[in-house]
Amino acid sequence: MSKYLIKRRQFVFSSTAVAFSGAASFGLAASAKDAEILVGKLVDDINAVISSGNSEAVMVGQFEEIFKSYADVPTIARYALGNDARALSKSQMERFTKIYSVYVSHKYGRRFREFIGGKIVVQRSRPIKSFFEVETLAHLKGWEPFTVSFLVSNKSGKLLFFNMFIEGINMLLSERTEIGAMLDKRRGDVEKVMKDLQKSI
Amino acid sequence: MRNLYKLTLLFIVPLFVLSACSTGFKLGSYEDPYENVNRKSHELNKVIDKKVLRPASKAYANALGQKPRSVISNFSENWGLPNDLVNYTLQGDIGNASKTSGQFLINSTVGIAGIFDPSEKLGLRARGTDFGETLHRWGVAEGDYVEIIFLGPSTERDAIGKVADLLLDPVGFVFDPWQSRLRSTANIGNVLGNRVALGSTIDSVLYESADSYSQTKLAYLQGRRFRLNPEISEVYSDPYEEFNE
Repeated sequence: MSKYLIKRRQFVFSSTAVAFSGAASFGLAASAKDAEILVGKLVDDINAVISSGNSEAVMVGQFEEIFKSYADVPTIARYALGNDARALSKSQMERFTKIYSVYVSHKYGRRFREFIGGKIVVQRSRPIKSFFEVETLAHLKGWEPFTVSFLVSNKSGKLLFFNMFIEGINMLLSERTEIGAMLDKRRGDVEKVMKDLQKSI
Repeated sequence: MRNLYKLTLLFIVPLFVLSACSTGFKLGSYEDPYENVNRKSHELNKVIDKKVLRPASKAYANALGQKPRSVISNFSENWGLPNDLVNYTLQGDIGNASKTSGQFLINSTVGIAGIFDPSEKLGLRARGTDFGETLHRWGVAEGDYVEIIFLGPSTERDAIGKVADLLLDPVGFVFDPWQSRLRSTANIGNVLGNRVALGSTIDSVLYESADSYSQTKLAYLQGRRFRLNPEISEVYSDPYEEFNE
């Protein structure tokens, strides 16, 4: 019985793989180079905001727009929720995604304020598993240059980044830890978490 | 006599380390057997930061402008370079050892005892290192995560490395008491200066996150692993795959 089950799973897996490779050949194909171009545009936009001289409030708003157009927001939001995402209704998930995207882009947007006077430069890209890693180097005044890597995928139907590593520090993992801790403190009440995230924006 | 004592410890420490934490690699693991004790140290460190370090760093930034602060930091960092050189030599890293030597020689002479940093303009810049990294190169595993009062996040291996660095530091052997005091003062200034420069990042982790202990631990372990082993430090997880399970 169990043997049969494994075979069935393998069959399901391989047929999905075929479906995916099929999709890839029908226009969803992307290369490491495409991912590099995407991240190139992303860092150009970020560099433009950093050097704009705008006020923090304006900059944070601009980062929010950048985040929404380059990041796979629903995937990031869902990952941050972890297993708790399974218990959410569709409308709850949609509301969470909306609030979370503003919260997270503001949070990281405020970080980028420290990048004023600096710039980010794309270094290289390579395929990993089913996605791409694009490595950039951030040059900040008074600091040794440090690595910021973006993970890019087209699994959402569009080429977008879904994770970011600053000197090896995994944004998705920090976010899952943060939202997990918020849920724990509110006895798993996602409505309360949303309310408090909204307040913190 | 004091030097003899230091040298003896120098040989004992590595032996102790090698026997203490030879549990193999734990890449991607965030296990935390000392969590209870660590959390207590973390709360204490937060109090120390809130009551002492953060206000002192603000006072430091108010009292001194960017220029004098960087002079103090340059001096502090320059006299830390001989220790980096010892470690790179122990690691057998000739490239970084010679870069470190060049940086130290130029900054100590042209840069007037290291208060200026002319080597930066020459592009002569080795990344910093420590005995924790030396132990890593020698194959010692990181051991468990520890948060130490005053010193902050570390691992068993890196904590022992910190002690070894204090003992190994060649500058400690040659500076007279007056020079040592000057250097210690500059080191304090450098710590305050770094607290200023990393201000909002540290504030956001310590005071704005729901679980500052876990965030500190995650950031330290990942950052440290990346620094020691950029190629294999992160086992990339695939959220798209996870959702399909």
